[in-house]
Amino acid sequence: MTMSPSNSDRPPNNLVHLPPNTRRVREAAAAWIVCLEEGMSEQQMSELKTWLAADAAHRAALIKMAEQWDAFDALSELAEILPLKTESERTNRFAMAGAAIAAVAVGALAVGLYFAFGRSGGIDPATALPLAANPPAQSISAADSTRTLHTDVGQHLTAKMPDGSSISLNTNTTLTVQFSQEQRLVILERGEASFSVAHDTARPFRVKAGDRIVQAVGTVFNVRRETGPNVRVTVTEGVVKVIDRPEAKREDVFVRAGQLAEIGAASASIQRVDPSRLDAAQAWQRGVLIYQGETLEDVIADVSRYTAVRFEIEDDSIRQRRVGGVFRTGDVDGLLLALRGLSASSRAVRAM
Amino acid sequence: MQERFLLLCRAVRELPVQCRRAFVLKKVYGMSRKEIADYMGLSESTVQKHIAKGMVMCTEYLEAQQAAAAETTPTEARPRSRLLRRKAR
Repeated sequence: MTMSPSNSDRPPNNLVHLPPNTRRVREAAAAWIVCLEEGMSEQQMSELKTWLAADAAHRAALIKMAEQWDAFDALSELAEILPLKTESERTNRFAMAGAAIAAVAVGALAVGLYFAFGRSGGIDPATALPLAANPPAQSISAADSTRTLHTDVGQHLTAKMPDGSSISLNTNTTLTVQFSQEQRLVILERGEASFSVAHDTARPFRVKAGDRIVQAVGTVFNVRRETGPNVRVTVTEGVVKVIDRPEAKREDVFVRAGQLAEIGAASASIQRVDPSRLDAAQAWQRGVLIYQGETLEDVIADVSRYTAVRFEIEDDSIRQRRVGGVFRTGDVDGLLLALRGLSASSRAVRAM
Repeated sequence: MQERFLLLCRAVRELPVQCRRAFVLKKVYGMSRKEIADYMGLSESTVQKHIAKGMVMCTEYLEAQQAAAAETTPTEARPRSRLLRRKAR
């Protein structure tokens, strides 16, 4: 079997007393580990036995490499955040996986913090409400022209619309869907939702968030109501138009793919966001929160939207610390554990 | 524990590009040698070499980090490999 790594690495008899080349032995051992994991033939097994018997260092190297191999299994968590997709997307996706590793590492360099990945320990269902692994899909029939959708804290819901559009509701969100001949209207009463809009030039798709209307024809975007009148619009595909209340006498704001608009009471700001941040902004749909250098204060405020647990930062000096990492919604224990490293006082961030 | 994860990420980042790709496809996405070979347009034996080299370089990186931290932090006993335990049965 050509895949067996042993042939070139079995020391010839006349060289057996030379000190082993550690790296080369380790590479052979690691290759054996790959073979072991994928399954080996009888012949390969006997080759492995021969290789192990040839030198005590081989056995030690195999054990060492196997331990390291297991340790790196932790990286598989990243696959959930950045799934490999279709053939055409694969180059892009690959770059993003690299970016994620870089982002996690850079965030931690700044603060020495990352939010714990899935932990084995249980969480108290009374205080944390994990998102469903497969959010239930609801469908609205054509006759059902007006309908209200709602999620509680920690819940997540995706609804299919009769026109082929779909709406995902994030935690603690209420919205009303009103479809008519003239328009497809969604009134976002509270919270945050993402919209994947089917193309229909005759009936614009409008999301009303307070006094603002976000209008799209065929696109993917996210609307979030902030505290007070503020609205945050992130666009993944296409273009949306944000129409302010008439008395504001402001020009419509166009938000394009890859942009994030913060519409405040007195001003609107549009900024370009890089693809990894755009992805982070949509990550809630997969039950994951991604932070890339936001302040602790902002992160705590954001996480609070997903749980009934109340947080209090006792040590003011850490409010502006920049943090980064990946956090699974519902894993409040993991978050607290990770945050404890931030301050000398382990109770600096305390769940109430 | 969180530092440990970041250390793993940094170790991977230090790898040469082809090596890193093969390694990430294996350990992050759990692809087989065959799948990685098709994906990257390489032979299976080259993929195996990249993965093995990646594993060794990552180990060396971690050892260098550990040696640097050794003066201040006592090392914990690591659990024995699950893979080897499984194969031993």
